[in-house]
Amino acid sequence: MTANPSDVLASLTEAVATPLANLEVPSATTHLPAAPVADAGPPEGAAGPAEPRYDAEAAADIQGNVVPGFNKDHQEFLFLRFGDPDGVREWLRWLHPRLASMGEVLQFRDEFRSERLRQGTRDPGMSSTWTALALSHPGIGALLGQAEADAFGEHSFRQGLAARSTYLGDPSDPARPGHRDSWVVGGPGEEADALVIVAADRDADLRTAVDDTVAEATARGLTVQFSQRGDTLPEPLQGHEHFGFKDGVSQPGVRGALAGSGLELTPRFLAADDSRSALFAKPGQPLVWPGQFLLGEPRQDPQDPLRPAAGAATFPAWARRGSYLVCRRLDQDVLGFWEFVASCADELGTSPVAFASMLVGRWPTGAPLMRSPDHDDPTLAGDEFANNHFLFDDDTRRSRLAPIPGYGGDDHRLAAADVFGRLCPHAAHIRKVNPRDSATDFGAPADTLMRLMLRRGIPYGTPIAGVAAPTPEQAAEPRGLLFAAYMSSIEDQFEFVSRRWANATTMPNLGGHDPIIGQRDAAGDRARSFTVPTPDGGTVDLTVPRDFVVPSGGGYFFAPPISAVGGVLAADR
Amino acid sequence: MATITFDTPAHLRDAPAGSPFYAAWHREIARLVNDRVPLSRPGRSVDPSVVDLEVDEERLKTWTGFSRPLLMEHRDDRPAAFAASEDRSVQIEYLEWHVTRTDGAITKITFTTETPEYYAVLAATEPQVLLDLYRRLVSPQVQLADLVGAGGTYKPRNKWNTTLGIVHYIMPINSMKDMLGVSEEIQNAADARDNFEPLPYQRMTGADARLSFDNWVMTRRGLSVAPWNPPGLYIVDWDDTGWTKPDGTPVDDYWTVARGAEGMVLRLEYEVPATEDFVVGDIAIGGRPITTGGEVAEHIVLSARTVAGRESP
Repeated sequence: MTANPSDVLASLTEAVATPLANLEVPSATTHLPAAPVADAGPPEGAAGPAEPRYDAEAAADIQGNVVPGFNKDHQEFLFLRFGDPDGVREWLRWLHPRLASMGEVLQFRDEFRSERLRQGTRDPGMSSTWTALALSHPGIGALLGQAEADAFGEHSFRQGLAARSTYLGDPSDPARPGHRDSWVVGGPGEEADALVIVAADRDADLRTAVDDTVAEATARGLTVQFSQRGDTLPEPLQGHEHFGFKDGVSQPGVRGALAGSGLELTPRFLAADDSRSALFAKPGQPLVWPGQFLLGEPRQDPQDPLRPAAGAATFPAWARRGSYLVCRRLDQDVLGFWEFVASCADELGTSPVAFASMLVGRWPTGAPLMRSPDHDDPTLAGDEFANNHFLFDDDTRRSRLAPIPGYGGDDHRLAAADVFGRLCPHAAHIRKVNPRDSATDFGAPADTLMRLMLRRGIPYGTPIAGVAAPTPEQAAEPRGLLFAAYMSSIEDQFEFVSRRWANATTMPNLGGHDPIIGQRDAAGDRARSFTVPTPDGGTVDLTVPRDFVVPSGGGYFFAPPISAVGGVLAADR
Repeated sequence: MATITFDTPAHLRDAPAGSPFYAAWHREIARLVNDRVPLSRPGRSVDPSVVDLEVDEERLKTWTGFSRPLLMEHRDDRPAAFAASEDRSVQIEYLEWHVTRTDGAITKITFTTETPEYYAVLAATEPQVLLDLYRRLVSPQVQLADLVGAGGTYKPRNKWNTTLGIVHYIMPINSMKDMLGVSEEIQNAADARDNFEPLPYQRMTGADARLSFDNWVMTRRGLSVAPWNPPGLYIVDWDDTGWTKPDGTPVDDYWTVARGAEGMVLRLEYEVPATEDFVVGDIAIGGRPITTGGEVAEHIVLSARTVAGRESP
C-alpha cells in the first residue's frame, strides 16, 4: 500500500527533530567553530600564489550579502520600480550609508562565533539588521543611460531573466503555471529596476527597517512592485526547505582575507600539513578565487585551482567588486512532491523518505547519502566538518584539521567511491548541481569550481511539512524558495548549472534530469526522467510527470559596490 | 566472454557484406589500441580484441561539442569565441561542422563525428563505395580523383570535405587515433588517489579531460577499461529548449540524423524545412539570433563509451 503523503510529511519534523535539538549546545558532534586566529590570514606563497588582501576601503565597498552573506532568519525582498530619476538618486543617497558591507558582516560573524563558543549556546543574543541593493539592467539604464548599462559584458544580464526564461526550461506555453507571463514580478515588461534585500535576526527589527526603506522610497517616487517576506522555517525545520530537507549545507569558500586583521573571508580549518589544505577551507568546502563572485577580482584558472586567473574585465569601472545577483521565486508543490515520492517508494519497496533522499542526495537532516547510505544520521548531519566531506568518484580520505576547541573529530563512516551512482544516483540534486570531484562535460574538476555560486536563498510561506492532515487551503497556500545567488557570470554559472546540468539527462553524467529543480520543455512536454538504484542492486528508470518546483518571479540584477551607490549612481546628471 | 572483433562506427554497413573493408577496419582499430597500458593504479587499459574482458560496467562519457579552449580564451567575449569557431582547425571537441549560407543567412549546419581513418580504410578497400558515399553526402559532382591520389592514397583534406562540404574530421587532433590515444593517457595520475590530485591537467578540451579522468577513476577501482564496441565518437543528445522562431514561439524539430543511429549519431543536420518562411539564421537561442554554427554546436552533446570489468585469467 502506498504511504500517505500527509503521514510522511507529518513524520518529517520527527525525523529531523533530534539533530536540530543537538545544535542547542556545542558537543563533540555539533561543533561551533572557534574564531579564526586574528593575524593568521591565508598562506602567502607557501602553497601557491598569494590570495587577495582587502584593505578597509575594499571591505567597506563590497556588499556584505555577497561576501560573506547575511544568513539571517528573517528577510524581505523588495522589488522596486523607479519613478523620476532624480528622486531615485536622492533615495540612493539615503540608502547608501545603510548598506551592509563585507567588513561589517565579517566582523559581526567573527564576534558572533566567538560569543557562541564562549557562551556555549546556539544563540548568543547578538542581533543586527542589514540591507543589500541590486539593480537590473533597465534600472542602471534609467540612472546612467543605456550606453552605460550596455557596458556590462554579461549578455544574459542585459537580456534579463524573462528573456532567458524558456532557455532555462521554464514553460513555453503561456497557459502553464510557471510561464513568465504569469509571474508575480519580473515577467515581460514587469522587470523590477531594483531589488532591496533587508535581513534581520528579529522580526520586529526587520519590519522597522522595511517600513523605513519603503517609506523613503515611495516618498521619492519609487513604487513597490512586489514584496516577498522570507523566513527560515520554524523549529524543528530551521535551515530546511519546504520539502523538508536541510538546505544550503554546501557553499564554496572564498579565498582572501582582510588586510589589517588577517581575518579570512572563509575560515580555514584544515591543518597546514594536510595535502588538501590549499584547496579546501574545511572538509568538503573548496576554496574559490573571489573573482568568481566579484567583478574584477582574480578568478579561477581553468586548469589549476591553486592559481588565479585575470578577473572579468567587461564592465564599467565603477562596477568593480560588484556582483551579479540571480533571484528566482520558486513555488514548491510539497504535497505533489511527496505524493510522487510515496508512489515510487511503494513501487520500489523502499520508504518514502529513503526514496526522496535519493532524489536529493541527502537525508532530511542533511546527512549525505555518500556517508550514510542506509539511514538518516542526525549526528553526522550536525557535524559541520563531516556533513559535507565526501567525494563521489573515489574513496574519501580523512582530513587533518587544525586544533578546534570542543571538536572531537570526524569518526563517521567515510564515503566510499560511487563511480557508477549505485549509492547516490547521478541524477540526485546535489550530484547534478555540484559534481565535486567527478569529471564533467566541461572536463576536469578544476572546471567545476568555475561554476559554483554563493547561494543566499531563504524559504517563503508557511510550512506544510510536519502538518499531519493539511487542509486544502493549507495545501494551496503559496510556499517555496526565494532563490538568490551571487556570481560574476550569470551565463557561465547559474545558467550553465541550470541548463546544462540540472535540465540535461546526459550531463554532467548520464543519469537523467535533476528530479528536484530540473526542467524540461520539449514541445510542451515537461515530463522528466531519471535513473535510480533499486534495493536488489539494479537500476530503474522513472518519469516525473510534472513540475514540483515552479518559477513564479524574479530577475537578473547587479549588486553594485557600495561606493557606487553613493557615488556615480546617485550623482546628479 | 571472448575477445572481440571491432565493428564499424554505429554498425555502419557502407560496404557490402563480405567486403574486405570490415576486416581492414578491425585491423585499423586494433593497431590504434595498445594491448595493455597501466593507468591510474591499480587497473589498466586493455585491447578487448586481445584481452578477454568480463564486462561489468559500461560508462557513457559526455562532453559539449563547442570548444572549451575557445570559451576559456574568450572568457569575457562569447561572440568572439563563436566567430573564431567557424574555422574547422579549432573545432577541437571531436565535433566539426559546415555552415551553409544564402545571402549571408545560415540555412543549414551539418555536423559530423566521422573519423578520417574510416574513409582512409574505405579508400583502400572499397573506392567505389567511398565515391558513392561522398556523392550522397556532399554532391553528385564528386569524382574519385578528387578523393584519391596517385597510388590510391586517400586525400582527407579534399575540397568536398573542406571548402565545399563536410564528410569527416580534418582538425589535426580529431581522429580515432587521438580519441583512443587520450583514453590511454596517464598524465599526473599514476599514483593519484582522487581526481583533484592530477590537477592541473594540461589538456584544455572538455573531451580529453573527460576521456582520461573517467578512465582513471575506474582503474583506481581495480577495473580494466576498454573501448566499447563499436568504438566511435557519437552525438548522443542535443537540446533546442528555449530556441524560438521569428514569431517567438518554440521551434519545431528541425534535426535530421543523416548517418548513425539513436545514441550513436555520426552526422547530424540542422535545417528548417522549405515549407517554413524562415531559415536557421532567423532562429534565436535564448533570445539571441544564430549567427554561427558554434552557437548550435554548444547545445550538442558528444560521447564515447568505455567498458570496464575484470580480465579473464
